[in-house]
Amino acid sequence: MVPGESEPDSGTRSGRSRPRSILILVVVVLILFNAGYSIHHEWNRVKPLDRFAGRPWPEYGMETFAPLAGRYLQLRPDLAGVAQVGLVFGFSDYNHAHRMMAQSMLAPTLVRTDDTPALVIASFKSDQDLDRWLASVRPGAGRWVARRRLGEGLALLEHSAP
Amino acid sequence: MNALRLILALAMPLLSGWWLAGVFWTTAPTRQPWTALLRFCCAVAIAWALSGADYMIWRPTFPAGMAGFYLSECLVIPLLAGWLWRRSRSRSAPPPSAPAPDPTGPARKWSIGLLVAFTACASAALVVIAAGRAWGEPAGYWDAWSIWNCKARFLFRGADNWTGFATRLNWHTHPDYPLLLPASIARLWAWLGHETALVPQLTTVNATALVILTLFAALALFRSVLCACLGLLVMVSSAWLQWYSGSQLADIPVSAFILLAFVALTQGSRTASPRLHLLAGLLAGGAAMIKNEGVALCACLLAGSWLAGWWTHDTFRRRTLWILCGMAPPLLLVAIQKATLSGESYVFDDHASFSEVVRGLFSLQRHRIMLLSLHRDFFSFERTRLFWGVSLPAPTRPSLLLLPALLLATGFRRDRRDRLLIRTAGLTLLLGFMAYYLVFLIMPHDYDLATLMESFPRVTLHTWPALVFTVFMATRLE
Repeated sequence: MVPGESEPDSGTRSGRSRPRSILILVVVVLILFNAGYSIHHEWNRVKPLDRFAGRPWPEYGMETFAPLAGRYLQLRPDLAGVAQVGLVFGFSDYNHAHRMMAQSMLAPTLVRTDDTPALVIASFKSDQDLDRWLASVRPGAGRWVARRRLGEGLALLEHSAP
Repeated sequence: MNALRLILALAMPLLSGWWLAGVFWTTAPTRQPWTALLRFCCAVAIAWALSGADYMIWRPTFPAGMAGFYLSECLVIPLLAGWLWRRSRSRSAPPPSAPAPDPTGPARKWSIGLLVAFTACASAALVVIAAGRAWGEPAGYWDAWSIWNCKARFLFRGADNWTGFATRLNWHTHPDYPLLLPASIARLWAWLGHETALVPQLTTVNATALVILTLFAALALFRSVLCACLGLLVMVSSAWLQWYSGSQLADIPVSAFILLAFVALTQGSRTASPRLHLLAGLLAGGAAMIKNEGVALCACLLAGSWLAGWWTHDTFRRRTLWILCGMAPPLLLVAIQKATLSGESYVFDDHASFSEVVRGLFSLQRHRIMLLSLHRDFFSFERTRLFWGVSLPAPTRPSLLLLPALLLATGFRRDRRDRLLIRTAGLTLLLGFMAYYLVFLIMPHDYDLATLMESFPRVTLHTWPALVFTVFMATRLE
């Protein structure tokens, strides 16, 4: 035997007992079945060819972030060179998804969750909700004027002095 | 013009990586294609780490002068790598080894051929699934857009304000996380001159393909094609790997670097070459440049190497020192980044006090939640639709159970050449798992089961390909 090479191994194919060989065969079959089954299952779940064709995710409820990303990305041309922008909501952003997505899409402009900056993104469920909020009287705080409306309750507002 | 820029951005680092892999990977030339494939995989990883690190250094140092960055990527680094490669070749040119005799008979060749075809189909299907996932979710998964891609946008668009992601306002970007992944995305955007979702999408698919190719080539080289096929089938059948394959998250890139480090360590322990231990350290350091868990795994690898050497009565101090030398440059870069950019991180503010750590360690509630999450992740069964309307109570995570089953069936292999590697890898993985468990235990935040169910699989995914590799190196499957 060459030093450092394998030691004599009683477990080579010829030296294996029949029960052990059967056991190994069972495990190998399980590996093959498991791989085939899980890849088949995942293929059916993801349907990659449908994804490449641009069809929406299937009905099992796969959440996609593309609409949320697109909602805030369209504001980017208006915020070029702006250091900070505020963000006000007409709904509860309990998991910070809207703020984080707005920040991710609008970087390097810093997105604050208040209305102190001169420019503010208003994100509401509908345009009616947005109009209601704009019309609301806020004593001593001046008024918000829509610089650009993007529909679906989204607008870029600027502050006008009282 | 864009295509030319993209080719330059990919080809030049790959060329440097190929030459540098040749400097470290000192083996006798063989006719086996696996050595070349492994060298290619190492080249991809080195190119990834090197080009990302180059951008990480240039971006903050000379934000306005990127011409120097392009020059360094296209000229300086490739020339330096080529010179090192030529020098290393002329110094150590080992004699070509004789091709090994092929003992397989025609019947076995047929069955192996069928197995290779099945494995190729399953692996290709996983890569297509990864691409489908990435294509269907262009923004990436939750952490992808809120952490990694957000940082990449700050780096690419930010001019002087690129550190905006590190403000307290942007706690969600985890400013203390290493920057290699966002830097490599921003680097390609810089080369292209504009942002495109294709870059993070291709990056995530590339990482999945890299893990697949590396595991197959490594097991085929060190064991056999049979082991390579079965190992790859076990790895690709993991539900976590499938789920995160096209996610644009950093977990699969970390697992690719850790697997490559183990592969270099295997060759290093067989040839006793310091260069390969250096390479193993460098690649493990690459994982540390991607995620904090990579830093923990580097520490575990050092401890595992030291303990295994002591156990095997090997020259463990020198071996571990070479690994540490390899890790040093990437770890230094990570340390500099953490010292300069993590100032406003909530992670630093929220360090657990000593009493909180002790309370976490002995909290029965936390142990219960951890064990429950492990049980649900590893041993849960659910009724799943199989096909043609047939449903079976199939285990959701059976892949992990197949590894001990295989070890029990075949027994442990006794090969002196790999004894050190198997002990090092086994100890590293064990220490890594213990470290992850401990971190979740002493975390200042109270994790609920749902959060753990999301977090724990992701961190265990970092070591999954390396675990499959280690088990197949240890089995007596012929």
